[in-house]
Amino acid sequence: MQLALGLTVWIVWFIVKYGALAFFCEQVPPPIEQGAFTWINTTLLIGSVAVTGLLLFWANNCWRAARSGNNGADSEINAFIAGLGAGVNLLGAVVTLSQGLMSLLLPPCL
Amino acid sequence: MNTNNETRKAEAALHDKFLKVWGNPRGWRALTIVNHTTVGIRFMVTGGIFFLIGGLLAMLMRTQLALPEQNIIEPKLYDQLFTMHGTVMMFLFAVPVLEGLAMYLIPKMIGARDLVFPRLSAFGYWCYLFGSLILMSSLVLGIAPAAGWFMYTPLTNDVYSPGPNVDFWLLGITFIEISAVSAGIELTVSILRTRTSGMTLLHMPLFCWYILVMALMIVFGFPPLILGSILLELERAAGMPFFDVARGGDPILWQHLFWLFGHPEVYIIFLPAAGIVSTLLPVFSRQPIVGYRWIVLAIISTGFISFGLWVHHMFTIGIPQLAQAFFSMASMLVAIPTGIQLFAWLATLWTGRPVYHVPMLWLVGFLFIFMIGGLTGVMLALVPFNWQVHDTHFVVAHLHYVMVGGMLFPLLAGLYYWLPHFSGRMPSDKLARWGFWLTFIGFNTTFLVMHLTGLLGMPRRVYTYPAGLGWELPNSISSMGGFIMAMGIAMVLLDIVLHFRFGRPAGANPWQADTLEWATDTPPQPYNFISLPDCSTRHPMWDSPDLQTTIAEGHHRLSEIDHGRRETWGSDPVSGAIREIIHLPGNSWLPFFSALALSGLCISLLIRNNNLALIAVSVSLVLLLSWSWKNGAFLETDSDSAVKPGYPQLHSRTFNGPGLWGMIVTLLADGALFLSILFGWLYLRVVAPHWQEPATAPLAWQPLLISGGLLTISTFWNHSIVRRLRADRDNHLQGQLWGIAAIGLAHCCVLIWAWSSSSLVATQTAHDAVIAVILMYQLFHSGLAVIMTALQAMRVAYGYVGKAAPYETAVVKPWWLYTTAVFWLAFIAIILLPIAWRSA
Repeated sequence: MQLALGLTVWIVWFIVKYGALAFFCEQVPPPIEQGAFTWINTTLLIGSVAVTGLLLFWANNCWRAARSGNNGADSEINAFIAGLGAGVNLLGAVVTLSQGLMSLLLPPCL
Repeated sequence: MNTNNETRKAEAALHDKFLKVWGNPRGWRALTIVNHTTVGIRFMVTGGIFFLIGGLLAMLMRTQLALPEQNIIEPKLYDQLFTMHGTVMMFLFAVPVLEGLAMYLIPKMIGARDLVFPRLSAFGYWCYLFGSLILMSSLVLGIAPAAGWFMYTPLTNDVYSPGPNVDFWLLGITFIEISAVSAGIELTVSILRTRTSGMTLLHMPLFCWYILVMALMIVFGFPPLILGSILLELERAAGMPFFDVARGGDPILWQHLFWLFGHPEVYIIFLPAAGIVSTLLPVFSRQPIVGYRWIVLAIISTGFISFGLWVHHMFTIGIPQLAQAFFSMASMLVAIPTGIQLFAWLATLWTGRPVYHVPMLWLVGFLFIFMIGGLTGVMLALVPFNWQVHDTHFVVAHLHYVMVGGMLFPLLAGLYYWLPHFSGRMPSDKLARWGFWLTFIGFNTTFLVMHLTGLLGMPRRVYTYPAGLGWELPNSISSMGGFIMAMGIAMVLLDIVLHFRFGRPAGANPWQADTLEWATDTPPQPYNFISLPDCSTRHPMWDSPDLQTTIAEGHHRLSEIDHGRRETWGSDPVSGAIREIIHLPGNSWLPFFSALALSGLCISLLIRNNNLALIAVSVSLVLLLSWSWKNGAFLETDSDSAVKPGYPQLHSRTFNGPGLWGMIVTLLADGALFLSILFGWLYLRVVAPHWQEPATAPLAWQPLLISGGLLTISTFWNHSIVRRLRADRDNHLQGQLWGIAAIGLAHCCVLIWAWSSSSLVATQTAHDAVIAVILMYQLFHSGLAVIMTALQAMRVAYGYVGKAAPYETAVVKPWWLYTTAVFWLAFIAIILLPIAWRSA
């Protein structure tokens, strides 16, 4: 699960974000002259920060699990999976935040 | 001496016994072979032939473009050439060849005797071959597709592309994609469930990680294009509008569906090739790869992030800038995992003691070319630059640097590396080096210059150009380079052909490789390993150099064959601990004839003959049902299922066999298709410029609710049957299964009635057309659930299903669950959502 969960959450958030942007720009577009500081961008940014936080939390949990094992064969494979999970969650967090920060730069519906 | 002779005799006797069970027939019966070694080689050879055809088309284009204002090739033919070149290289060469290589290697690398669903791989090959022949026949007939390998609408609708040209593409490619998805399912389950004892995920060869991610990407990535092709064909053949603006459709939906497949496709091709690099570099660097864990992380991340980039192919179509920024950022971030792999490879080279045999030449060539392709990729991820060079030869150059550098060079490295495995002989060093240098020089001469041609503004896909624009010299150089590259490829081919006769014998493990495929005979026997070794190391051949001998002598486990079954281990997906013995099906005509019947369907749809199509559907259905009847739990008596004391039971005696995993992975692909339909529905509602929705709902919700209720009851009942079987109770099993099938049938009837009494006119608006497709999808799944359950009921009478063999009920259960979930999701999307929308 851990190998796929982090980036699955990212991709789901990405699709939701892209879909919501298209929907709200079609239904209730804020004026262009308002620039990047619109309610759409604020919502997207808050959502991105929340998802980033969740992914960082999971990354931390996985990392701790990877470090807490003993020397048995089972724990070696568990540590491997947990370590990979930490990496996947961390990378998911980086991608989510990087994309989220774009909301600070551009108006949503231009 | 005597002991040695006796050992050899025992070994030969055991080999003969294994061949009786595993051997490949000859003559016409060779069409029945399902063995992964043969099927993998068939995929590779067929793909290689298509590569040569695709290359020939490229040569024709380069001849035409060598000088300005030439008329060697007419514009219409030129359109066909560039469309078919792209199509052949992407669909008929790159993916099938890599799948073939994976099919050939994966069981050998993980210590298995065959892939887990051998008949499915054979079926996939025949689908690929017949689909390709159908597509290529259009070129011979002069009616090949001519709208580009991306088939953008409205250019491809029946107004702008009348005639069968586009239909050849849509039907042929969909047929070929069945093959790709079946290979994806096959490889995923095989890697996860048939690794030899003790091969944990941590000890799995990196190539298997790459193929696992590639296979899962196929499972999720191909369904959007399959859906897009079905929708476009329905629009062309049945007049159902999905991309027609006037009737509420949107051509941009096609682009989304196409690139949802198209961008991951690049990584589907790149990942196995990178897997070859990660396999070969340690061998020729004489030391384990640096950063195994980092590379695994990079592979998984690449697989995911590559799905978030599809819009970077659509930067010029008018998407909001903020959305473009999201995709631009994702496009740049995918360089992180790629960079991790690149640095791991460089570190392996740096810290090792590299020996520069021929495969290494191709690897170094790959590093150089792929780096340039990657850098221009980052340039193209920048939106303003992308706008400037969009649809110019710069993009053509980038694409070829990525695809040829990222796929062809590693593939040829791998080909040279594994040639001794295929043939037992070594290639010629001299010819091989000539082949490399000519290809390398020719490739760079062609495409490095093409970047400049693009920056000078030359658009792609034009059949000629006027003199005086500065495009003459770069085009001439590119054409010359193309011919030099062709000479290089010809040299490689010559070497491969000659080596079968003149190559020196390779001996065992000629490159001193570390992975298990070199523990088989070279060339390998159909059963790969007579006995299956435990493997708790990442470098079995380095740690136990005598492994080939001890395996052949039967010193390891599962070397019993007197029962006449084809067997391999079924293992835990994470720890590699043995769970059960998987009994594999043998040679059969069914895959061949099923694919033949489906190609008959394809041809009848092409010539628009509905009666013939109906016959082909019926024949296909009979063949596929007969396949399912023969392929399930097969044992009639308990004595047939006897295993050696101390061994685990046969998979048909369990609830968690490979069939269940195959079903779940199939449903993942199916789910991707369904989500693509929902995406299309929501996309058109929000974005289509002339979306038309009736004032009142065309479908009544009450009968749908009844239909869904019946379906839910069937599913719960089916669920309870499996639970009772788990508790070792099978009383009234047959009657219950008939009951479930009957309620399922009632659900289908109510659904059909609800549809027929609705006001839907599928040819009038995109709104009605999409709902019709959702209903068809639902009926297909519900109908199949009923048929499968009825078959189960019949099989109870034969003793194939019951307490002793509960396997099949566990396989069918997820199908019912999925069908029910899809029904209620569709209900929410097409009934509840519009009500909420209207009231808002």
